[in-house]
Amino acid sequence: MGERANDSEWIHRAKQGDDDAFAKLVEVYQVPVFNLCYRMLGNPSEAEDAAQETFLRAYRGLSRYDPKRRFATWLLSIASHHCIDRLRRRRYPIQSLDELLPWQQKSDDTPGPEAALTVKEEQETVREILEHLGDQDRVALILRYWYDLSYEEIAQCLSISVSAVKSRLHRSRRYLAEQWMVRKSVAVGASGRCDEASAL
Amino acid sequence: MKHQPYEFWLFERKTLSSDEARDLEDHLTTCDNCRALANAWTNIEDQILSASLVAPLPGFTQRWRSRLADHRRRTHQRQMSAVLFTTALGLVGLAFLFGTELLPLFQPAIPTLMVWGSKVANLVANLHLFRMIMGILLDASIDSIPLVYRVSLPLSLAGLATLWVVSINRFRYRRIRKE
Ligand SMILES: [Zn+2]
Repeated sequence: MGERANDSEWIHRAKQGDDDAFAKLVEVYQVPVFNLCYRMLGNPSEAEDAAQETFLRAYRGLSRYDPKRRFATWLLSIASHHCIDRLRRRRYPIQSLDELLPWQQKSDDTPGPEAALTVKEEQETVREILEHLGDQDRVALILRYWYDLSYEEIAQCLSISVSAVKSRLHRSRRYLAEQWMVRKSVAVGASGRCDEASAL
Repeated sequence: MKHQPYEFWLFERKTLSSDEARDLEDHLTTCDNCRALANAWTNIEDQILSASLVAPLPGFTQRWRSRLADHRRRTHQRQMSAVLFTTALGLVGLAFLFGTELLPLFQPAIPTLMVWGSKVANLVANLHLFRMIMGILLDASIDSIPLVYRVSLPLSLAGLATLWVVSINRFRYRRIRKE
């Protein structure tokens, strides 16, 4: 999601008070902003509200936008902070994680029935693991993998140091991998026992 | 077995130099622990990377425009309330500050104001009484007056009133011209 040629022109016009120009920016960046909110909050209606609020905050704070920064990164930064605030206020577990995880989306290469079962199980495992990541760790992971942001950009987005980003990502990835292994070993153990039982 | 820095590198494979990548591969062939971790992470990473961006429902920009309009209206209302509140607060503050000093200035005028107030109240009450009496008289006498008088009386009264207004006006203008 690189900067488009027209962005700086629209930003300039929006700064002069041209609402139509800002609406163009909303049109262009609605998907990345909504996706981030959706991945963070796990609920489409709450994600819609958070994305709308993100654009409203961006509109009000446009005079503070530094053109040296990528506009997309600036928007994602606003969205990240807003989602973390919401999650902090929420103080109860995410209502619906069913649609949170990307591996629940349909892929083009649809696997066969047996493979589909395995994929579904794996997705379910990762979903459960990811649910337990902290908000800050999850947002760092989302910015890294869905938006391909560099460590410096993530640091700028979340107002933390680059080393903090690295340690958060390392912690999240290690945690996810370890949990994956635990689930796998449990699954293998269970299937092993099933095989033994059926052999008897 | 020493797992660092390989345990860190296995999550950062794309950013490694060729030497680092080779060292990591060498380690992974000998270390079951790091190999299992690397495989697990590869599985998760593949799934994350295969996910696309989720889009909002159509009409997002239009909904944003409505939200902006709503925000502006609420901001305007808040500003108006703030101005009114500040003005009221200022007036109360001024009254509190200067009240004791200004009260003696108004004190001589209080009896006069009270007299005028009672006069106005009397006038209103009298007008109301007059209308009541006239209403009763008209109701009582309307049937006993012949139709000719019922028409000609209001007409002559209206004519007299017009004559009166015209003469007053002419008199006033003549006075102005004389001056
Ligand atoms: Zn190792």
